[in-house]
Amino acid sequence: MILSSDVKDRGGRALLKAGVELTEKHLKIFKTWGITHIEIEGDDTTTSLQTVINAHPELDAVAQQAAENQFRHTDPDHQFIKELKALWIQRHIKVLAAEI
Amino acid sequence: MSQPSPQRLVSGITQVASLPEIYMKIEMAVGNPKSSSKYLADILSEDTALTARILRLANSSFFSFPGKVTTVSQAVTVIGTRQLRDIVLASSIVGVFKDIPEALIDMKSFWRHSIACGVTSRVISTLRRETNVETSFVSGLLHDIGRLVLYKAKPTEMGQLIGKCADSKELLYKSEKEFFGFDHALLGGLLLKEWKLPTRLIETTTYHHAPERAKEYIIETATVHVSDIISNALITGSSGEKLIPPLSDKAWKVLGLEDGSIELITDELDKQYAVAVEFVLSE
Repeated sequence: MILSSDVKDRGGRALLKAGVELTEKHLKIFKTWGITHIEIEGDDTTTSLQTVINAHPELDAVAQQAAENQFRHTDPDHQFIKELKALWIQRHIKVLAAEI
Repeated sequence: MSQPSPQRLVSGITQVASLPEIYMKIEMAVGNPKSSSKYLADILSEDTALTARILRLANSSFFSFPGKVTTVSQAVTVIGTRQLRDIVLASSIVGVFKDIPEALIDMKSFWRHSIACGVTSRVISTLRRETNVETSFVSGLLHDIGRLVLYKAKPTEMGQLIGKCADSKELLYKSEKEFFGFDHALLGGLLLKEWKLPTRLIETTTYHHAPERAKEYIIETATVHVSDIISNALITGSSGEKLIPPLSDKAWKVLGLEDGSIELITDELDKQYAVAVEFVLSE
């Protein structure tokens, strides 16, 4: 497994640079530092979503509209809500695609 | 039409349903500094199904223990005594509410939402480097327990409210308050109080829709509030609420999570969710 982006602690300090081949020892150190998430090469989940949208371009608009209803009681300008809504849309597109 | 008091609804439940004896015994043993892992293991061994589940859990990715855990007392050591008590509580409560009509609420869907909220609370507490993440799991798991009191005591009214919310696109917890004069959050808090569970759990349950009203456990309540919103949005499963409840910006800020942390949280949620479902629902 090769790191595809820098691993940083909560303060933003880099612990390990992208491109490094990971060993068991690295994983133990991450645990000690409370790092729960790293990115590795070849782990690109956005590609499969893009493939789905290319195959069914109409799903994007359907999911956007459904999201407006689902999130109607939340503040659309809140940064966290924006991020959550974007994730919801991604997941909803996959659900819709699976039903086709 | 006059509505019953929330206290009366809760008493109706506690008269027929109490927490299992095994939880009481574990609770007493954990509170006693002299009790050993072996003693706890002996209590757990009275329930073979629970024993098997605890062994599976101790060997799961939840705890990432490097070796194989083969005995219950080893499992007690790996999981930790307080954490174990919380986990036994979680599985005990599922058993208390087994006979709610399927037509009203799909109980698996209810528990899936609750488990997702528990796991998300656990993940947020881990990110914040808090110590007892298992209590966070239980806080999240129990946040909607008051809804089960309503489904049990007022099935017809709840069915009507759910139907009304589907048409009007209102939030169910607000409709409960309008109709009964109180909502499931308040009822849940009362039930946990009646069961003499810790104040932390009572407060996180009572204020999960109004986290700014929490008095003592402000961060813990904010954690459950945000986790409820995340799990409503991202995991299939519902306690009756079909739309995403509003976020309290104050609670969000209290947690001090960075922008973009939602991806970290959901990655972990997806990883831990299946293990938790298997443990709580024995699926």
